[in-house]
Amino acid sequence: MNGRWRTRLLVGLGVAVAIAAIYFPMLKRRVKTAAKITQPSEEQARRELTTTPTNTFDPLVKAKMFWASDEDESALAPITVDLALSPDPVLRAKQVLNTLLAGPVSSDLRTLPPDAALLAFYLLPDGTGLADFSEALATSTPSGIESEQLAVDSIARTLEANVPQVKRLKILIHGQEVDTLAGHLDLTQMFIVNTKAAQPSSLSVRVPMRPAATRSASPTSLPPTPAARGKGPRR
Amino acid sequence: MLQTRSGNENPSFDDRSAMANAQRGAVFVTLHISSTGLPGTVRVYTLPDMPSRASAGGILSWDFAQASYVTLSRKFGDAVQGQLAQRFKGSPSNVQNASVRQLRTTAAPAIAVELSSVSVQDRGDLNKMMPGVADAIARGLAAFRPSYVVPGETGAQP
Repeated sequence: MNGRWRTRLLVGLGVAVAIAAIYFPMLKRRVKTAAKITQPSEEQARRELTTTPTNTFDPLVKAKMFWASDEDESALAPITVDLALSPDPVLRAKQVLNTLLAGPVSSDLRTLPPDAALLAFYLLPDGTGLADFSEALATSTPSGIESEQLAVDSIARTLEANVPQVKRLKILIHGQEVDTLAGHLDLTQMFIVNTKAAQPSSLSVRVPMRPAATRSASPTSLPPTPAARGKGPRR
Repeated sequence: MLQTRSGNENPSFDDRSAMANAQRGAVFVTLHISSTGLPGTVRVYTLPDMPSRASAGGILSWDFAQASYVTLSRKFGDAVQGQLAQRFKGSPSNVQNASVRQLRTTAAPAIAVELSSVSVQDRGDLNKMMPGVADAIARGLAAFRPSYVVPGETGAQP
Protein backbone atom coordinates (compact mmCIF):
# COMPACT_ATOMS: atom_id res chain seq x y z
CA MET A 1 0.00 0.00 0.00
CA ASN A 2 1.56 3.31 -1.06
CA GLY A 3 1.65 6.44 1.08
CA ARG A 4 -1.32 8.13 -0.62
CA TRP A 5 -3.65 5.22 0.09
CA ARG A 6 -2.40 5.00 3.64
CA THR A 7 -3.21 8.69 4.16
CA ARG A 8 -6.69 8.22 2.65
CA LEU A 9 -7.32 5.26 4.90
CA LEU A 10 -6.21 7.16 7.99
CA VAL A 11 -8.36 10.17 7.05
CA GLY A 12 -11.34 7.85 6.47
CA LEU A 13 -10.83 6.18 9.82
CA GLY A 14 -10.50 9.58 11.50
CA VAL A 15 -13.79 10.74 9.97
CA ALA A 16 -15.49 7.51 11.07
CA VAL A 17 -14.23 7.99 14.64
CA ALA A 18 -15.42 11.62 14.63
CA ILE A 19 -18.89 10.61 13.39
CA ALA A 20 -19.04 7.85 16.01
CA ALA A 21 -18.02 10.29 18.75
CA ILE A 22 -20.92 12.56 17.79
CA TYR A 23 -23.49 9.87 17.08
CA PHE A 24 -22.80 7.50 20.01
CA PRO A 25 -23.89 9.86 22.86
CA MET A 26 -27.05 10.71 20.85
CA LEU A 27 -27.78 7.01 20.41
CA LYS A 28 -27.20 6.42 24.13
CA ARG A 29 -29.67 9.19 25.04
CA ARG A 30 -32.28 7.77 22.65
CA VAL A 31 -31.93 4.28 24.14
CA LYS A 32 -32.32 5.70 27.66
CA THR A 33 -35.42 7.68 26.69
CA ALA A 34 -36.94 4.66 24.96
CA ALA A 35 -36.26 2.52 28.03
CA LYS A 36 -38.01 5.09 30.25
CA ILE A 37 -41.05 5.14 27.98
CA THR A 38 -41.39 1.39 27.74
CA GLN A 39 -40.60 0.58 31.40
CA PRO A 40 -43.78 1.11 33.43
CA SER A 41 -43.62 2.18 37.05
CA GLU A 42 -44.29 -0.43 39.70
CA GLU A 43 -47.77 1.02 40.27
CA GLN A 44 -48.55 1.11 36.54
CA ALA A 45 -47.40 -2.48 36.14
CA ARG A 46 -49.52 -3.52 39.13
CA ARG A 47 -52.53 -1.66 37.75
CA GLU A 48 -52.13 -3.37 34.39
CA LEU A 49 -52.06 -6.72 36.14
CA THR A 50 -55.05 -5.96 38.33
CA THR A 51 -57.22 -4.15 35.81
CA THR A 52 -60.50 -5.96 35.46
CA PRO A 53 -61.19 -6.88 31.85
CA THR A 54 -64.44 -5.54 30.52
CA ASN A 55 -66.55 -8.12 28.79
CA THR A 56 -68.06 -6.64 25.65
CA PHE A 57 -71.17 -8.77 26.26
CA ASP A 58 -71.82 -7.07 29.62
CA PRO A 59 -74.77 -4.71 29.38
CA LEU A 60 -73.99 -1.02 29.12
CA VAL A 61 -75.44 0.69 32.18
CA LYS A 62 -75.43 4.22 33.52
CA ALA A 63 -73.04 3.99 36.46
CA LYS A 64 -72.92 6.76 39.08
CA MET A 65 -69.38 7.74 40.02
CA PHE A 66 -68.81 10.01 43.02
CA TRP A 67 -66.00 12.46 42.38
CA ALA A 68 -65.50 15.89 43.94
CA SER A 69 -68.10 18.49 43.11
CA ASP A 70 -66.90 21.28 40.82
CA GLU A 71 -68.92 23.77 42.87
CA ASP A 72 -67.66 22.70 46.29
CA GLU A 73 -64.41 20.74 46.38
CA SER A 74 -65.16 19.47 49.88
CA ALA A 75 -68.34 17.70 48.69
CA LEU A 76 -69.02 14.83 46.34
CA ALA A 77 -71.20 14.95 43.25
CA PRO A 78 -72.50 12.01 41.21
CA ILE A 79 -71.39 11.83 37.58
CA THR A 80 -73.16 9.36 35.31
CA VAL A 81 -70.86 7.29 33.12
CA ASP A 82 -71.86 4.62 30.57
CA LEU A 83 -70.04 1.44 31.61
CA ALA A 84 -70.27 -2.20 30.57
CA LEU A 85 -70.76 -3.69 34.04
CA SER A 86 -70.73 -7.34 34.95
CA PRO A 87 -73.74 -8.75 36.82
CA ASP A 88 -71.25 -10.47 39.18
CA PRO A 89 -70.95 -8.16 42.24
CA VAL A 90 -67.21 -8.72 42.73
CA LEU A 91 -66.33 -8.01 39.10
CA ARG A 92 -68.76 -5.11 39.09
CA ALA A 93 -67.16 -3.63 42.24
CA LYS A 94 -63.71 -3.92 40.63
CA GLN A 95 -64.97 -2.27 37.45
CA VAL A 96 -66.53 0.73 39.19
CA LEU A 97 -63.60 1.19 41.60
CA ASN A 98 -61.10 1.06 38.73
CA THR A 99 -63.18 3.67 36.91
CA LEU A 100 -63.22 5.79 40.08
CA LEU A 101 -59.43 5.47 40.34
CA ALA A 102 -58.98 6.37 36.68
CA GLY A 103 -60.57 9.68 37.60
CA PRO A 104 -62.94 12.18 36.04
CA VAL A 105 -62.27 14.22 32.91
CA SER A 106 -61.05 17.11 35.07
CA SER A 107 -58.19 15.99 37.27
CA ASP A 108 -59.11 18.71 39.81
CA LEU A 109 -62.16 16.66 40.74
CA ARG A 110 -60.20 13.53 41.63
CA THR A 111 -60.83 12.08 45.06
CA LEU A 112 -58.19 9.33 44.88
CA PRO A 113 -54.51 9.68 43.93
CA PRO A 114 -53.75 8.82 40.27
CA ASP A 115 -51.01 6.34 41.17
CA ALA A 116 -53.22 4.28 43.50
CA ALA A 117 -54.44 0.89 42.29
CA LEU A 118 -57.08 -1.58 43.41
CA LEU A 119 -55.20 -4.81 44.10
CA ALA A 120 -58.16 -7.00 45.00
CA PHE A 121 -61.78 -6.92 46.01
CA TYR A 122 -63.47 -9.59 48.12
CA LEU A 123 -67.12 -9.93 49.03
CA LEU A 124 -68.01 -11.90 52.14
CA PRO A 125 -71.36 -13.72 52.21
CA ASP A 126 -72.74 -11.20 54.76
CA GLY A 127 -72.26 -8.29 52.35
CA THR A 128 -68.93 -7.05 53.70
CA GLY A 129 -66.72 -5.80 50.90
CA LEU A 130 -62.95 -5.84 51.40
CA ALA A 131 -61.19 -3.44 49.05
CA ASP A 132 -57.43 -3.88 48.96
CA PHE A 133 -55.57 -0.87 47.55
CA SER A 134 -51.88 -0.29 46.81
CA GLU A 135 -49.75 1.76 49.21
CA ALA A 136 -50.16 4.83 47.03
CA LEU A 137 -53.68 5.28 48.40
CA ALA A 138 -52.16 5.90 51.83
CA THR A 139 -49.02 7.72 50.79
CA SER A 140 -50.47 9.99 48.08
CA THR A 141 -53.86 10.95 49.52
CA PRO A 142 -53.51 14.51 50.86
CA SER A 143 -53.25 14.34 54.64
CA GLY A 144 -56.21 15.82 56.51
CA ILE A 145 -59.59 14.81 57.88
CA GLU A 146 -61.54 16.44 55.04
CA SER A 147 -59.48 14.99 52.16
CA GLU A 148 -59.26 11.52 53.70
CA GLN A 149 -62.99 11.49 54.43
CA LEU A 150 -63.71 12.57 50.84
CA ALA A 151 -61.56 9.72 49.50
CA VAL A 152 -63.34 7.07 51.58
CA ASP A 153 -66.79 8.56 50.95
CA SER A 154 -66.21 8.51 47.19
CA ILE A 155 -65.38 4.79 47.37
CA ALA A 156 -68.31 3.96 49.67
CA ARG A 157 -70.90 5.99 47.76
CA THR A 158 -69.76 4.70 44.37
CA LEU A 159 -70.15 1.13 45.66
CA GLU A 160 -73.53 1.97 47.20
CA ALA A 161 -74.82 3.38 43.91
CA ASN A 162 -73.59 0.56 41.69
CA VAL A 163 -73.13 -2.62 43.71
CA PRO A 164 -76.13 -3.06 46.03
CA GLN A 165 -74.77 -6.37 47.37
CA VAL A 166 -72.00 -4.49 49.25
CA LYS A 167 -73.37 -3.37 52.61
CA ARG A 168 -70.21 -2.57 54.53
CA LEU A 169 -66.71 -1.70 53.42
CA LYS A 170 -63.33 -2.48 54.89
CA ILE A 171 -60.32 -0.81 53.29
CA LEU A 172 -56.98 -2.61 53.32
CA ILE A 173 -53.63 -1.24 52.18
CA HIS A 174 -51.50 -3.84 50.41
CA GLY A 175 -53.41 -6.63 52.12
CA GLN A 176 -52.96 -5.22 55.61
CA GLU A 177 -55.20 -3.43 58.07
CA VAL A 178 -53.72 0.00 58.78
CA ASP A 179 -54.50 2.47 61.57
CA THR A 180 -55.33 5.46 59.37
CA LEU A 181 -55.56 6.40 55.70
CA ALA A 182 -53.08 9.29 55.80
CA GLY A 183 -52.76 10.05 59.49
CA HIS A 184 -56.33 10.92 60.43
CA LEU A 185 -59.19 8.76 59.17
CA ASP A 186 -59.62 5.48 61.03
CA LEU A 187 -59.25 2.48 58.72
CA THR A 188 -59.56 -0.09 61.49
CA GLN A 189 -63.32 0.51 61.26
CA MET A 190 -65.79 -0.65 58.67
CA PHE A 191 -67.68 1.92 56.68
CA ILE A 192 -71.39 1.58 56.06
CA VAL A 193 -72.03 1.42 52.33
CA ASN A 194 -75.66 0.47 51.94
CA THR A 195 -77.42 2.38 54.69
CA LYS A 196 -80.76 0.64 54.06
CA ALA A 197 -79.38 -2.89 54.26
CA ALA A 198 -76.86 -2.34 57.05
CA GLN A 199 -77.76 -2.76 60.71
CA PRO A 200 -79.55 0.39 61.82
CA SER A 201 -78.11 0.28 65.36
CA SER A 202 -74.48 0.66 64.37
CA LEU A 203 -72.92 3.07 61.95
CA SER A 204 -69.43 1.72 62.31
CA VAL A 205 -68.37 -1.79 63.14
CA ARG A 206 -64.97 -3.25 63.81
CA VAL A 207 -63.77 -6.27 61.83
CA PRO A 208 -61.78 -8.93 63.63
CA MET A 209 -58.78 -8.67 61.31
CA ARG A 210 -56.30 -9.77 63.95
CA PRO A 211 -56.59 -11.67 67.20
CA ALA A 212 -57.53 -9.40 70.07
CA ALA A 213 -58.02 -11.48 73.17
CA THR A 214 -58.55 -8.49 75.46
CA ARG A 215 -61.07 -6.74 73.24
CA SER A 216 -64.72 -7.23 73.96
CA ALA A 217 -66.93 -7.56 70.94
CA SER A 218 -70.57 -8.21 70.35
CA PRO A 219 -70.94 -11.40 68.32
CA THR A 220 -74.03 -10.05 66.57
CA SER A 221 -72.20 -7.12 65.03
CA LEU A 222 -69.04 -8.86 63.94
CA PRO A 223 -69.11 -10.71 60.65
CA PRO A 224 -67.54 -14.15 60.96
CA THR A 225 -64.15 -14.59 59.38
CA PRO A 226 -63.97 -16.68 56.22
CA ALA A 227 -62.21 -19.48 58.14
CA ALA A 228 -64.94 -19.56 60.77
CA ARG A 229 -67.61 -19.92 58.13
CA GLY A 230 -65.68 -22.59 56.32
CA LYS A 231 -66.17 -20.64 53.14
CA GLY A 232 -63.68 -18.21 51.70
CA PRO A 233 -64.48 -14.75 50.42
CA ARG A 234 -65.31 -14.25 46.81
CA ARG A 235 -62.53 -12.62 44.90
CA MET B 1 -54.78 22.17 80.28
CA LEU B 2 -52.65 19.19 79.31
CA GLN B 3 -50.87 19.15 75.95
CA THR B 4 -50.48 15.57 74.73
CA ARG B 5 -47.79 16.42 72.20
CA SER B 6 -45.78 19.44 71.14
CA GLY B 7 -44.74 18.39 67.64
CA ASN B 8 -45.74 16.26 64.71
CA GLU B 9 -44.14 13.10 66.08
CA ASN B 10 -44.95 10.49 68.72
CA PRO B 11 -46.59 9.72 71.20
CA SER B 12 -48.93 7.29 69.50
CA PHE B 13 -52.71 7.67 69.25
CA ASP B 14 -53.17 5.28 72.17
CA ASP B 15 -50.57 7.04 74.31
CA ARG B 16 -52.29 10.37 73.76
CA SER B 17 -55.67 8.84 74.60
CA ALA B 18 -54.14 7.31 77.73
CA MET B 19 -52.98 10.75 78.87
CA ALA B 20 -56.43 12.24 78.21
CA ASN B 21 -58.32 9.33 79.77
CA ALA B 22 -56.35 9.68 82.99
CA GLN B 23 -57.94 13.12 83.53
CA ARG B 24 -61.23 13.43 85.38
CA GLY B 25 -63.95 15.58 83.82
CA ALA B 26 -61.78 16.64 80.91
CA VAL B 27 -62.61 17.41 77.30
CA PHE B 28 -60.32 16.44 74.43
CA VAL B 29 -59.51 18.68 71.47
CA THR B 30 -57.24 17.53 68.65
CA LEU B 31 -56.03 20.30 66.31
CA HIS B 32 -55.12 19.78 62.65
CA ILE B 33 -54.26 21.78 59.56
CA SER B 34 -55.64 20.23 56.39
CA SER B 35 -54.04 19.87 52.96
CA THR B 36 -57.28 20.86 51.24
CA GLY B 37 -60.37 22.98 51.76
CA LEU B 38 -61.24 26.64 51.48
CA PRO B 39 -58.37 28.61 53.07
CA GLY B 40 -59.44 30.54 56.15
CA THR B 41 -62.19 28.12 57.17
CA VAL B 42 -62.33 25.80 60.18
CA ARG B 43 -64.31 22.59 60.62
CA VAL B 44 -65.10 20.58 63.75
CA TYR B 45 -65.52 16.79 63.59
CA THR B 46 -66.85 14.19 65.99
CA LEU B 47 -67.18 10.45 65.57
CA PRO B 48 -70.39 9.05 64.07
CA ASP B 49 -72.58 6.93 66.34
CA MET B 50 -70.88 3.74 67.40
CA PRO B 51 -72.16 0.73 69.33
CA SER B 52 -71.53 0.95 73.06
CA ARG B 53 -69.14 -1.79 74.18
CA ALA B 54 -69.17 -1.52 77.95
CA SER B 55 -68.56 -4.88 79.60
CA ALA B 56 -70.83 -6.38 82.27
CA GLY B 57 -68.71 -4.70 84.94
CA GLY B 58 -69.22 -1.32 83.31
CA ILE B 59 -65.64 -1.12 82.07
CA LEU B 60 -65.34 0.67 78.74
CA SER B 61 -63.72 -1.17 75.87
CA TRP B 62 -60.52 0.67 74.95
CA ASP B 63 -61.26 0.48 71.23
CA PHE B 64 -64.70 1.99 71.74
CA ALA B 65 -63.97 4.37 74.61
CA GLN B 66 -65.66 7.22 72.77
CA ALA B 67 -68.95 5.32 72.33
CA SER B 68 -70.53 6.59 75.55
CA TYR B 69 -69.48 10.17 74.82
CA VAL B 70 -70.61 10.61 71.21
CA THR B 71 -73.70 12.65 72.12
CA LEU B 72 -71.75 14.89 74.49
CA SER B 73 -68.97 15.27 71.91
CA ARG B 74 -71.53 16.38 69.33
CA LYS B 75 -72.94 18.99 71.72
CA PHE B 76 -69.45 20.25 72.46
CA GLY B 77 -68.60 20.24 68.74
CA ASP B 78 -71.73 22.17 67.80
CA ALA B 79 -70.95 24.79 70.45
CA VAL B 80 -67.40 25.25 69.14
CA GLN B 81 -68.39 25.12 65.45
CA GLY B 82 -71.03 27.79 66.05
CA GLN B 83 -68.36 30.09 67.48
CA LEU B 84 -65.96 29.32 64.63
CA ALA B 85 -68.61 30.02 61.98
CA GLN B 86 -69.02 33.53 63.39
CA ARG B 87 -65.28 34.22 63.14
CA PHE B 88 -64.30 32.40 59.94
CA LYS B 89 -66.58 33.03 56.99
CA GLY B 90 -67.32 29.97 54.90
CA SER B 91 -66.97 27.56 57.83
CA PRO B 92 -69.93 25.22 58.38
CA SER B 93 -72.34 26.08 61.18
CA ASN B 94 -72.66 22.52 62.52
CA VAL B 95 -70.25 19.84 63.59
CA GLN B 96 -69.54 17.08 61.02
CA ASN B 97 -69.10 13.33 61.40
CA ALA B 98 -65.80 11.65 60.54
CA SER B 99 -64.09 8.51 61.80
CA VAL B 100 -61.08 10.34 63.21
CA ARG B 101 -58.75 7.72 64.69
CA GLN B 102 -57.61 9.83 67.64
CA LEU B 103 -61.15 10.33 68.92
CA ARG B 104 -62.15 6.66 69.04
CA THR B 105 -60.08 5.70 72.09
CA THR B 106 -60.81 8.85 74.06
CA ALA B 107 -63.16 8.51 77.04
CA ALA B 108 -64.28 12.14 77.21
CA PRO B 109 -66.19 14.61 75.06
CA ALA B 110 -63.78 14.82 72.15
CA ILE B 111 -63.59 16.92 69.00
CA ALA B 112 -61.17 17.35 66.10
CA VAL B 113 -60.68 20.90 64.83
CA GLU B 114 -59.22 21.25 61.34
CA LEU B 115 -58.04 24.52 59.79
CA SER B 116 -57.72 25.02 56.05
CA SER B 117 -55.11 24.81 54.82
CA VAL B 118 -51.40 24.24 54.33
CA SER B 119 -51.89 25.53 50.77
CA VAL B 120 -51.97 29.18 51.94
CA GLN B 121 -49.10 31.13 50.40
CA ASP B 122 -48.20 32.92 53.62
CA ARG B 123 -47.94 30.88 56.81
CA GLY B 124 -48.72 34.10 58.66
CA ASP B 125 -52.32 33.76 57.45
CA LEU B 126 -52.64 30.54 59.45
CA ASN B 127 -50.94 32.07 62.48
CA LYS B 128 -53.46 34.93 62.40
CA MET B 129 -56.28 32.40 62.67
CA MET B 130 -54.95 30.87 65.90
CA PRO B 131 -56.25 33.42 68.46
CA GLY B 132 -59.71 33.25 66.87
CA VAL B 133 -59.67 29.45 66.95
CA ALA B 134 -58.53 29.40 70.60
CA ASP B 135 -61.19 31.93 71.58
CA ALA B 136 -63.92 29.95 69.77
CA ILE B 137 -62.89 26.73 71.53
CA ALA B 138 -62.85 28.46 74.94
CA ARG B 139 -66.26 30.06 74.40
CA GLY B 140 -67.70 26.86 72.99
CA LEU B 141 -66.41 24.96 76.00
CA ALA B 142 -67.94 27.52 78.37
CA ALA B 143 -71.31 27.13 76.60
CA PHE B 144 -71.05 23.34 76.68
CA ARG B 145 -69.91 22.98 80.32
CA PRO B 146 -73.37 23.04 81.98
CA SER B 147 -74.47 20.07 79.86
CA TYR B 148 -71.34 18.02 80.62
CA VAL B 149 -72.69 15.24 82.79
CA VAL B 150 -70.40 12.25 83.01
CA PRO B 151 -72.16 9.19 81.54
CA GLY B 152 -73.25 6.62 84.11
CA GLU B 153 -73.14 9.05 87.00
CA THR B 154 -76.49 10.80 87.23
CA GLY B 155 -76.06 14.41 88.19
CA ALA B 156 -72.28 14.19 88.26
CA GLN B 157 -70.67 17.21 86.70
CA PRO B 158 -66.98 17.95 86.35
